Amino acid sequence: MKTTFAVSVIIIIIATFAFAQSTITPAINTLSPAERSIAEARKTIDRKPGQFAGYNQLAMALSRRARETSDVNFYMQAEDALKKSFELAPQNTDGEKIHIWLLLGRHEFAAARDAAVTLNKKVPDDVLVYGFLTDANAELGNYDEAEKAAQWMLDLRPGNLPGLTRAAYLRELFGDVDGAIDLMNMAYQSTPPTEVEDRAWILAQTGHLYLAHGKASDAESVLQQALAMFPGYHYALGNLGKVRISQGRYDDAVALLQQRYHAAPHAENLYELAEALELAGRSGEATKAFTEFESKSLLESARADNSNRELIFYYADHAHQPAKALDVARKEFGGRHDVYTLDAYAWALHVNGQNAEARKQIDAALSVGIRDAKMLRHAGEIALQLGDQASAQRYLQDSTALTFPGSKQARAMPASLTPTSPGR
Amino acid sequence: MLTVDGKLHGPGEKEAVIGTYGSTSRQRVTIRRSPFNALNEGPFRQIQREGNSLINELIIGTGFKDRFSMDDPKNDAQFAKFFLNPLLATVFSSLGIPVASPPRTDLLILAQYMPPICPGCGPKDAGPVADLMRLNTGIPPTPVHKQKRLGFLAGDLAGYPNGRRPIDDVVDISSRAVAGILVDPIKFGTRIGDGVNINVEGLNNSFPYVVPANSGRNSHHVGPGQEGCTGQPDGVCPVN
Repeated sequence: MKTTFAVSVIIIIIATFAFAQSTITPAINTLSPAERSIAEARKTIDRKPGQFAGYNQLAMALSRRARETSDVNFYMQAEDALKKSFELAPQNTDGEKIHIWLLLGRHEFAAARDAAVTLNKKVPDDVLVYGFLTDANAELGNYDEAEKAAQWMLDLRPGNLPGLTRAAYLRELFGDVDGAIDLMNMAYQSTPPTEVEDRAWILAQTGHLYLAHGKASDAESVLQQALAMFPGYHYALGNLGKVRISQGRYDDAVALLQQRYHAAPHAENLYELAEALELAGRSGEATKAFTEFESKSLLESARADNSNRELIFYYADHAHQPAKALDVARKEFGGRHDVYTLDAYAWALHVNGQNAEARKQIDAALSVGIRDAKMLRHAGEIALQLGDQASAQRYLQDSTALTFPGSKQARAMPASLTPTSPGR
Repeated sequence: MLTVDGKLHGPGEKEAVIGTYGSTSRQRVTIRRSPFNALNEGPFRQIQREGNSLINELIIGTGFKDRFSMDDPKNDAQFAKFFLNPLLATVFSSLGIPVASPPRTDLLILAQYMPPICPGCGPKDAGPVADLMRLNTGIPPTPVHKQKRLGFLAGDLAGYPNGRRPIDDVVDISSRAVAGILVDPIKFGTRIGDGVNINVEGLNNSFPYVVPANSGRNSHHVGPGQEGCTGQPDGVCPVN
């Protein structure tokens, strides 16, 4: 089970609640925040083994550890703890909340949304349930519903941390990256300094936002801060790797992405590593990594929790197997219509020469408001194939403006103003 | 005069009774910012309110408290079920404290215009359920030295829940009301309380009456049996 923004953001809430209840002894202060929570939960269970609350606490703490380490085994342990909680108290509300969170973790977004709608009727003003509604709807591409739920979170309890981070994510999707950074900063200020992993997570997200805005040096500064705070943090390593790519320091990027893949051995992380290896000119290693990625990704392709988006781009851009790209893309598009899926679907259509339909999909993605360099480049190239030079130029210029001025990618961008053959 | 017609009324007249509440607001953070001169924060929005003391804390159920805080008393009919079957009564019951059975129509005096706070009100004057601090302006204030900390429950008719004075021990009064003391003072009259029965710092004679809070660094909480009830007869905190 991997962590999307939606899934990882929920941990913040858990951490905040845990902080409020924390009774940490100096002896276990060297443990990570999640490890401390796990120890406390186990103590609670030892003291009161017949009460469900301890098992809920343990399930939440284990989930949090999963985010810290990216180790999926912790999610499985969390599910076991939740099972015990339900044995002791069927349908207890906190347990139901954790259940939805685990559904989100498994990327079963439609099921998560349905469960959240039901729970919302039972406890209509639970802020966290609105968080689940935001997450599930955002992942499905139901942005109006996601916005409504997130705005309600902020209205219901102004300044609440999970509301702020979700609002930041939506602002990014709606094209307001500056505003997203503002909210992430507000969230950072509200996070207790002892919650180092939470703070590092917020900094890693802020780094991503700076990067998305073409501000590589600001991104680097917050990402270094995150790594100093929580050494070896996989989210920060991944984003710092992208900063290095933007700076043309490909070998450094490879080193960081290798470190990240070692910490979080997920297929999509291997894909980014393979791309970096290719940029670094280490084609033998890149080919090996891409091949390994393909087998790994195919193994999970039928699951809801998969790396199909990367697989689509792999088939489209690296393996030159456009038909396979479109197969996978159609399957993904059948389940969700978020901007990233629409972009991948549009690109798969484009490499198969179906540019009119590709344009429809990429337009739908961009109409949400997102300003993403890669998406804009895709839109530009699709427009170019359709002979719409004016739109192509606009999209490609916008993409260039966001692709770290001065980088090799940015300099290469005007070259794409020449139409390319479909299925390159 | 704050009465409905601006005139003075006797305690038996329904026009003598007013309903008030206070609220706190802060600026709303909006996901969509204004496009020009982008601002993170929009208009003020209510985040907390208080009519009767501890209504949200003791009566409104878990999962509805935020909604209660942001809404207006005029919409409180949606919370009527909590007045008629408060969660805290269930908690008391689980602890072995006798509590009155629902529906708890006895608690509606906190949320509607009715006797004894409004002796002049008939059934048609009750109005919708609304958490407002009712005050019968026709009942004269009790002189300070005669005021009782348990207010109405101790026969001090100028005390909570008929208005709220600094001396009124709203935690004890509200907890006992939730148990059912208004239904049957013997059967449901458990002396529930938080053990803090006097204000060791006393009260001032003029607004704002309460003295500034203790320093967080140099003071500690005084519990029952500790210093604070010393100086009282037999070291026991007064119950009335």
